Amino acid sequence: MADTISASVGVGGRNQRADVETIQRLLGRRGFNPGRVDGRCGPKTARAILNFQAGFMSRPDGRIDTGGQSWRRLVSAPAMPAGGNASASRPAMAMPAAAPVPTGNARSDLLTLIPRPSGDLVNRGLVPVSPAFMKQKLGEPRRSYTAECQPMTNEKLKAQVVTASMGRFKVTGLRPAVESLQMALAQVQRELPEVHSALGTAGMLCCRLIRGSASAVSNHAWGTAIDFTLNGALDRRGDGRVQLGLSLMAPIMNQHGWYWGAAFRTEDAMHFEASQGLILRWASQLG
Amino acid sequence: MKKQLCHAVFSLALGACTLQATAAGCDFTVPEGWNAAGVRWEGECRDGRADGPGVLKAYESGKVVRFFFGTLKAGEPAIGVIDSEEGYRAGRFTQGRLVSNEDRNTLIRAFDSASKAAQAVAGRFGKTGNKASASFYEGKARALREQMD
Repeated sequence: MADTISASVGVGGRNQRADVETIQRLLGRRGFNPGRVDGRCGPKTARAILNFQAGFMSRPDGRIDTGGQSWRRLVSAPAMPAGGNASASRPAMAMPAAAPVPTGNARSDLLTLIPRPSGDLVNRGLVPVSPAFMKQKLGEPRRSYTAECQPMTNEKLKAQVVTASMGRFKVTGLRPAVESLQMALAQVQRELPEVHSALGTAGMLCCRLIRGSASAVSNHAWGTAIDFTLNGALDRRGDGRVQLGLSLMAPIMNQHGWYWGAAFRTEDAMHFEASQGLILRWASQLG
Repeated sequence: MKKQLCHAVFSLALGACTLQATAAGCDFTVPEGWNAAGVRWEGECRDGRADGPGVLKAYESGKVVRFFFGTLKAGEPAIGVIDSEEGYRAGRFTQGRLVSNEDRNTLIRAFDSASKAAQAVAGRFGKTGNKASASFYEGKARALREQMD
């Protein structure tokens, strides 16, 4: 029976279990190592897709679409003989200089940079917030701001600020945002343990002006946005590329209503923030 | 000329502590994990040690593979940002080691210091007429300044 997939697999893909298993089997037959065939698209599978694509794409994106170039190549490529390996059998498929290099190390694979996924693949159904929207719905966190993080002074909001453990690190933010984050990261831990174990933060609540601005307030001022690190590294803002680990966890954050900053006009992949839907719900809960 | 002046605390690990004397006789400690043999300093020197805002550049096979943008005090990285292929690592440094810190203000200050350092280096290159390098470091300064929103 011919191999088929019903939806996309990989970074930003639908990643339906049966489809992921099919891709994992095909990658394995072609000499790439996607890890265990378990129907889960984790760092190893994403990395194997990237390495497979590196043989024919100048900018591998880690995703296999139904009927797309990567799919056609995958189903038409010859299977490896037993005991073979991909690099030894593909002398004509020299890796371009920018191609991912297999490391066999899941923790460093998470920092592999890939092009940011196109807008239609992330943040489906989510709307980002603006400072004006946040002020209208939750109020002004402080009367005045500087370029440094300062304490929240709005008593009503301040009463809702909590500090909580996320397992490997602590965050301080608005109570419903922190609780939502705990649920999202618990799912990340279940489904992407390699990503969860590498996660850290560059901060959540921070009442300040956006750098270089005399009036624009950071979305972190309400304690409803967070910046993540992976293995202590911050994703470089504005370079149009995103760390693999962040792109793998983004769909889970999206499921919980968190908007991924990779889709901002200036890409900011380390940044996730509560979407308009969440803020509206929390605003009514907080009265 | 290269001195092997390791700090005791690092002498057991990685050789990361090595102080290197540049051609101009300016010593500095490299960040932990760096190979001191291929590191250059772009910045001021005081009493034979790198001091003030500037950039440490780590070379491999003739190419820069990572930078430290920030402030050195008496030859020691004090605060700043390591910029490498995998992203940024930012904060305060002690004896070459990045002090683990998730305090947002510390990170903001580290990027601020790094941006000023890159701008200072851009100015140095600009004065010598090296427009390409000046432009490169101005771009770095802008990216570092805008990293933390």
